[in-house]
Amino acid sequence: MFERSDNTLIKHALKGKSRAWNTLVKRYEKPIYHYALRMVSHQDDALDLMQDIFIAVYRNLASFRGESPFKGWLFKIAHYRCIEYYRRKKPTLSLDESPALDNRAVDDCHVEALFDDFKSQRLFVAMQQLPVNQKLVVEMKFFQQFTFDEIASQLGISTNTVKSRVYSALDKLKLTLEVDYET
Amino acid sequence: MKHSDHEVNNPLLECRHDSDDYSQARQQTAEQLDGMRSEMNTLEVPHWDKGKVLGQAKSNATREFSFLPWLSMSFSIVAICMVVLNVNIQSSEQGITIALGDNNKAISPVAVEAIVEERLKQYQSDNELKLAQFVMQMQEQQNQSNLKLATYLLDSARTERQQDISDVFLHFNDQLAEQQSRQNIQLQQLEQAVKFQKASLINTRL
Repeated sequence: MFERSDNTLIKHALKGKSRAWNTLVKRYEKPIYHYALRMVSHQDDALDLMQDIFIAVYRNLASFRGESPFKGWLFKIAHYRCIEYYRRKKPTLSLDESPALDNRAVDDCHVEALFDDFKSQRLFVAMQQLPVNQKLVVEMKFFQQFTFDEIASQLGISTNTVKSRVYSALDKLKLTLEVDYET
Repeated sequence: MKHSDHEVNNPLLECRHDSDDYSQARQQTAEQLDGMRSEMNTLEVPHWDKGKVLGQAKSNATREFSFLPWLSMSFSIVAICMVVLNVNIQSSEQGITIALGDNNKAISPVAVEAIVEERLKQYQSDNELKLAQFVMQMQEQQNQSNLKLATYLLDSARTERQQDISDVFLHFNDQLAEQQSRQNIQLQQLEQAVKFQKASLINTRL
């Protein structure tokens, strides 16, 4: 089936055609929702964050020049909104600091209801124990499949910093998952 | 394994196998994450109103887009009108006066002159009053000073006179005492002379 490109949909959306906008949203709502869910660990918050992201995308749509892929630009906005969400929700928590072990947030999310298999549940819970900056690069690298250079460009940091964060996150995840499996 | 063919460059970790960043444990965790990608992305997005978001975004954009330019334009129009109509706003004791055009200035030069004249008269009368008060104060102060000086002079003269009189008395007393002692001596000499003559008479008779 013929599928219109992102740039075409954006042009139509900028002209006020809601159908083009809805198509664009439908195309990216799933990765953005999963991104938001893994970042905020709560379904309702994830839905709110996703809506915030798409509102911000629409408001800034005119500034998208089409020189880079739309997905990268979209996730750049998603990062900003996500960081804003964290600063609003947890103003005292540093982005490089691991969150406190508060299992209520994860329980409330009904991990078992979200994922059928045990591995996915454990990985989801393990990711919530990472600092925001590390969780962000893991999400971008392994679940959204961006390269280190693309992530660095989107986050405005160096590639080596991205690599360092990913490797630290992998080391922590390894430990957490091993402990989970042993228990 | 998925990436076993890449001996030198590891695409998942984007590093060389012989580099410091590479480790078997990281590789395994990365492969585990990579393998679970599809399972972790199976959730369906809950139903949500995309049109509402669009409307909200439009309303936000419209509100933000329209408010500031309209405000700016309103101020610009007001400023232009004030310049074109030569609006003259002046504040005085009677209140604020707004005048339009050159011919309707709020205060004419004659009125300004009258006000200045009135202010000068007021200033002059104030000064005269203050000067008169100052002169009166000076005179009063001078009178008090003169009185104090006269009192001091009288007191000092009286003391000097008392001192002089007591000196005269002392002098008189000294002179009297001296004269009395001299008389005593003379009387004693006379007594001795009489005694001597008496004795010589007796001797001659004998």
